Amino acid sequence: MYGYYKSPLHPLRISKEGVNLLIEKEGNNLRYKRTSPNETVEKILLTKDCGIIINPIEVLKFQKQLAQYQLIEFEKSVFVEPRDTNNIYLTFPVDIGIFISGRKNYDLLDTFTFAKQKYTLYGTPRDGVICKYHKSPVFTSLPNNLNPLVDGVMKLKLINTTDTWIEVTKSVFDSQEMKVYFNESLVSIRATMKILSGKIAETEFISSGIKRGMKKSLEVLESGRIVASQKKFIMEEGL
Amino acid sequence: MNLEQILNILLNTFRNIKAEKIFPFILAVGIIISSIIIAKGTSMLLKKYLRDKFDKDRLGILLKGSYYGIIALAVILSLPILGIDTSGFLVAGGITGIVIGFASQNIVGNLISGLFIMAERPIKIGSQVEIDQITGFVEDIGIMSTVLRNFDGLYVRIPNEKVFTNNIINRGINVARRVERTIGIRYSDDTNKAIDIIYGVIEDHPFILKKPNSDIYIDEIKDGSVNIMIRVWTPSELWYTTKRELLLEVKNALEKEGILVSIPYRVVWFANDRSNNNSN
Repeated sequence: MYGYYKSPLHPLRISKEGVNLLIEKEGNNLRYKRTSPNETVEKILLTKDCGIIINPIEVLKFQKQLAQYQLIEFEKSVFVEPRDTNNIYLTFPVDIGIFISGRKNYDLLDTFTFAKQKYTLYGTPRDGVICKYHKSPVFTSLPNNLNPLVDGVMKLKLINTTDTWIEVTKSVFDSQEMKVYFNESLVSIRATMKILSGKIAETEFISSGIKRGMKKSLEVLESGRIVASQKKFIMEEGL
Repeated sequence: MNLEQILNILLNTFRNIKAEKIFPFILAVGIIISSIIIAKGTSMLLKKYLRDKFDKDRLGILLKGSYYGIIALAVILSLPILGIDTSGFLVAGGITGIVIGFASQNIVGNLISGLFIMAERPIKIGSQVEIDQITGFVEDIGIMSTVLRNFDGLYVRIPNEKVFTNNIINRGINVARRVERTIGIRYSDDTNKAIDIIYGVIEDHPFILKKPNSDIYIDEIKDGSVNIMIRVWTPSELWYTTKRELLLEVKNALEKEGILVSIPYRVVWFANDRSNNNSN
């Protein structure tokens, strides 16, 4: 499904997992239609020809203000040795972006997801943040057989800077800095979680794929020309 | 009159001016110049420390007020130095002050309250608040009054003194809020099953937060129903939407499983039936 679809002079139809995308000629212009089990989106594109790019995007599906942060809860907690660095693999819900391109420019046309949407609070109602929630199994090697339209893989480097064993049950990230890489069979992100104490950690995304030759996704924030100011997220409300 | 004569007249004039007359004049000018410097400094300091607490327009008014206030005070202080008797001003000012004070105590109260509200910032423009039993969105916070737009779309102006002295409930200041709903089911229905179904609805609703945990329990056993309390948390901005959707989704899910929402009923036993039943 992911990829670049050139100038749909003939109707462009893509059907996957109950989602149907259609771009067809309507008079001198084009009509975009997406039908999902619980919603239908229709848009008129005032152009004769354009390119359509479909790729996974950072976590921004529903309301942008609610999806700035992503919390991944581990199905099983992870104990990290003192002064040690280890990699684990987690899953994350994939959001898909449909971009329209032409005249050396592109913009976000539509977004949807096959993954279940759930939100949670990290911290207290007064000082906390609303995060997109996902519960993930913890893998010690790259998991296979994941549907790249639903689940992506996060390679998380856990760095314990303390002199004690630390139990980690979740990880929170600022999605604005999420760098998604993909190929036909895998959607991936890389991140680090630097544990500073038993209750505080610093998380950050790394801009590279977890396999060679993976393509970087177009970013929603980049297309919206929003400049993100903070790269790291400080988890101060527990690990 | 030639140039030499003009110069002579000027020189004679300066000679006739006595030092004791020049000194107060210089002192008065010095006080005013110093006051301008102090006023500038005060403005800069106020700007530095209050920049984050006040918005740009209101900070501008405050800075101008302090700047000209200091200079005006300096001018009043320097008048006696120049030999101008200000006791008349003081008496007149005192009386005027008392009159204006009585007449404008509410205005001054509102003004001072406005300054405190701007500094303390318990509410912001756009916040959903309840002040003095009026609920709405804050449209403007002025020096004298605060403007709300209530849920009927009406313009409500509340004097700042009232805002400051009343309890303020800011509904949007925290990121998450609790929704509380009660649903009554029949005695004949399985309560545990109903609770499980409600937990399912909550799990499927994206904007009912995973944490803080939801709480569902039997709240009351009433005459005609078993009342189940549903307490869930949601993002503050979606509180109303979630509240509106929750009960409908719960009701539909319960009905789908054959659990019906209770309607008031009363069991009436007739005396004849009872005696017949007993004799049988």
